[in-house]
Amino acid sequence: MKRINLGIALSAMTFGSVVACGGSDPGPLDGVDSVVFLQRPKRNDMGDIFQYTSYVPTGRLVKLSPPTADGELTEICCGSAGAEYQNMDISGYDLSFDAKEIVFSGRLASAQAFGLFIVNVESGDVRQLPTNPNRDYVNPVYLPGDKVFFQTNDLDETGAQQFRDEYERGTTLQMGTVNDDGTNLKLGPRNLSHRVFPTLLSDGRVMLTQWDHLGDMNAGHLMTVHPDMTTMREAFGKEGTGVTNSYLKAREVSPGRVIAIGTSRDRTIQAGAILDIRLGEPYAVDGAIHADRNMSEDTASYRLLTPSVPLGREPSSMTVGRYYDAYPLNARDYPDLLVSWADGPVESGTLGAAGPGNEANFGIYVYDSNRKTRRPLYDDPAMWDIFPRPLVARDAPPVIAPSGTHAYDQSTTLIGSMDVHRSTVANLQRGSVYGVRVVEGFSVEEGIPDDFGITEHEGAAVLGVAPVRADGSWLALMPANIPVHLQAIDVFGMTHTNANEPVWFSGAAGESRVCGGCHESRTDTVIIDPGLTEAVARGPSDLRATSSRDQRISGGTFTRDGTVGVPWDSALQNVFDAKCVSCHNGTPGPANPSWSISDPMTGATFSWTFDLRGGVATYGVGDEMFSGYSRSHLSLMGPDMMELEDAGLVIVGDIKIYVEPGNARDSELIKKLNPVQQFPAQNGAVRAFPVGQFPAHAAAVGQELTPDEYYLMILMADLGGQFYSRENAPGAAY
Amino acid sequence: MRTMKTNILAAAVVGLLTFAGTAHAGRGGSAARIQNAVATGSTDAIIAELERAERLICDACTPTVLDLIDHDKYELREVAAWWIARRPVLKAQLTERSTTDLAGSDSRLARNAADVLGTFRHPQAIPALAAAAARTDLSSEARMAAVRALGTIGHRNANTALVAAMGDGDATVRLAAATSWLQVRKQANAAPLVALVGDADGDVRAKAAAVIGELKDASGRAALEAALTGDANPVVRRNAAWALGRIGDAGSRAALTAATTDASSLVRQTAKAALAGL
Repeated sequence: MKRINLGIALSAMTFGSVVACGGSDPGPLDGVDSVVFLQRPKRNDMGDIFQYTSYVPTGRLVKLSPPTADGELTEICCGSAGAEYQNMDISGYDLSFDAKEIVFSGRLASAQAFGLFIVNVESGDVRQLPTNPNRDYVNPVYLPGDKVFFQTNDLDETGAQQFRDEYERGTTLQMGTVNDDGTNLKLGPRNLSHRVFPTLLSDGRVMLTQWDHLGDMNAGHLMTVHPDMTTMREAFGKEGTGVTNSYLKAREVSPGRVIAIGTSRDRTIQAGAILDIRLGEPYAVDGAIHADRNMSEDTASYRLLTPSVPLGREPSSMTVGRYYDAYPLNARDYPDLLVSWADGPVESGTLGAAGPGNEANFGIYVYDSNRKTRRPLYDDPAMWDIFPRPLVARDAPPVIAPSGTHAYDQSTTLIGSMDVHRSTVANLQRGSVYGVRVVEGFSVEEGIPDDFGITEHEGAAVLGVAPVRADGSWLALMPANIPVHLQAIDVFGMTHTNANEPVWFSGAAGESRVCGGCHESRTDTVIIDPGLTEAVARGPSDLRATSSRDQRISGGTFTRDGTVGVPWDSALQNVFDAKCVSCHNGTPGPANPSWSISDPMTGATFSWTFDLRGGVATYGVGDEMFSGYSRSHLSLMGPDMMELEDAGLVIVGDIKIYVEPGNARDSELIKKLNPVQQFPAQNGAVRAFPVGQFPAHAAAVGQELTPDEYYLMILMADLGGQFYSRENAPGAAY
Repeated sequence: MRTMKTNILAAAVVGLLTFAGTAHAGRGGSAARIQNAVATGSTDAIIAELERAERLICDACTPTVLDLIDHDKYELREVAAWWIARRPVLKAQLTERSTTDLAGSDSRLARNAADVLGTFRHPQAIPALAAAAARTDLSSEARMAAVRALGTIGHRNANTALVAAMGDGDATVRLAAATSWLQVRKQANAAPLVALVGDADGDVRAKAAAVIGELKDASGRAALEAALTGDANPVVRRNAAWALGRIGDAGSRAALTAATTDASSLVRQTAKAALAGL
């Protein structure tokens, strides 16, 4: 094997010439006639790893034949396809199983959205799949059965807007499928945030990166889903199996084993280190390593194949660089990879500071992950040369039959558990769980001006509570295609410790999503008594399953069963005004403790006294003040302590946070009130905590709350303590 | 050349390593990091650092962020306004200033003001934005920004102003109006866009056809069929074919069938799929 000295090759590239390097022996590319890859004009700003709208004309699909230094570069698409294609940028592609066609996401002009196109590799004939011209369709992947999986910001709900992450303000990508002749386009159930970079696995499932964003959870994880967009499952990155913030651009190496890019969410040009992820227990098959035995997040592991490459967002160093993507050429323990790599500080700020012409320059290399060496194949210094892969046919995975549908209203999704007490995250004593509360999530696209309140939690709407039966089972129908999360609650309506599920899930119309337990062990088999679960025998609870979005809103009064959202100013404030503010009114004293924060640099000080009255409240020091939303909201939720620390502010006095977002049970407010029983029937004589230890404050001072009012307080805390809900969204059209 | 390039990059690395850290969305920001990111000129870096300082109490950040409100790039004006939206005193001051700027004679300031008010996304700004969108003494860029802001707010009270903007003399404003129409929550029909299918500008015609299709407004059928068979722009014809497929009226079969032999591959495939759905 003739190897080109890497330093020489890099020097050649830096001087700005197009190079195709390598010797006559292609090594791991032996038997490969061509490598196909994507060329996009170099750029420095394309957003964080979930953004997809970057457009710079002109991108093209090319092939290098043979994949060596003396190979010939040929354009596959789309310079000769017609005038309408002359300014096209291409963001991603996939090769058909017979290697005769390529499906790609292309944008014809800046005024248009990304659409899906299919080009014949030999003839160059190109056709567009008829997607919604108003919406972007990206990341196409061939599925067996003449279908294409894609991701899109399109949605299938009349009058609604696609979810918009209130943090990074991107319109989210969701999943869909379409026949490769353009017919039968379907959009899948939606996540509250983005889903990106799908890839097909050899067992017929699709793996993708999902942005999980609920409260403090804020990271990109690998998930699997069936090609009919049902049966979404965790694969890697959650539950402590991960090594960095986000995993993307996964490619299967062998069954149960994928290569993925691990990186920070932003400033890394969507590039990072290469991880060899084993989803189950690894074992050898004829020199190849598979990992499809006992696959679960518990047994998943990873190996860092590029140990010098930063996993965070710090600039990479010279000769280390970052990898845009990687394609496995074999399944050795340390595999050979076809990679797209750029040298130097691949970090947007560093490159921006270096000025125009210094954008990251991704070129094509063969990477020996055992020796940690790169052999350059091709680099055009004016372009990103990315997503290389051999132009070879491959076996199509088996077609996974569509999931069966449940027996109820086919516009709804059936959810449940066989035995909710089986849990690896919560200690749920048998009999302690009254029911499972199902909470719909939404974001600022529903007319929220900026944030939902002081906390990090998203918009919430309670669909209802499904009772847990004597055998631990529960079952419910809910609206299809909306993100929800679950809370296992007790008879007081409070979520059990660690039983407030920190991720969103959703289901398709007609889909059944029934788990073994409440985040049960992923390696155990759930065994139930012979026959049906009791929940199945009794039938599912109807949790607003056929209500439209604008019907999923609280009525005029906030009763236990009628409350959907908990608008702070119109639901909670009424309670405070009627029963609390006669004492808790901002007058310093035992009933109204005070705290201060000060800036030691400037001496500026801010003081706050507990106050449950309504009205605007702000906090901060100096000229910059933060919204407390209202006096009662700030008093109960408290300021953001971490940001106070980050700002180097000094806290004087004891800032007591009375509500722990997402955790009513451990919130001071709830303990102080000592709420009454809610389920199965409200009972004011039964309190949640020992009265001797937790005197029921409101009752003790003669301002007893009604059972509905207690439940409102609990809901507020368990949902995250938001100020805004659908009911009080300033821009709502309901 | 290589030496100089390497040195620039190395210097930039040294400068930034001080501020680099593990990615924690929404945490770890500082005034120095924001200032450093602004100094790099990188849109991605600036956005990332402002997001990281979302809730940071940071007086020292404010002047830097306020400067970004006047930046040439919309993305940076938007993220600066998003950052300020979390700070009610600043937000109130900027809302007042923006409302004044929107009524003033400086088109650049009016553009910036529209972007700020759009990012704040409060329906209270709709009257001021609507008035600005209708002012012919402002630049087309400023009017377009006002119309874009109405779409960002997405409230149906903006509909009247959006319809008026569809008659603006500048194509970028009309295009923004068509785009914003679709962003309004619970938007029920696309009747005002039917006339735009015959607009002088190809991008406007294409967008109008697409919006009519997404909203499945059958009142646009005749205009769409005329565009499918007669428009010189293949993107307009493609969008018209797609829209007719969405509307799904069998009466469009002849026009769609004719389009299956269109000169553009963009149109042929779309027409075939539309026919399959009738």
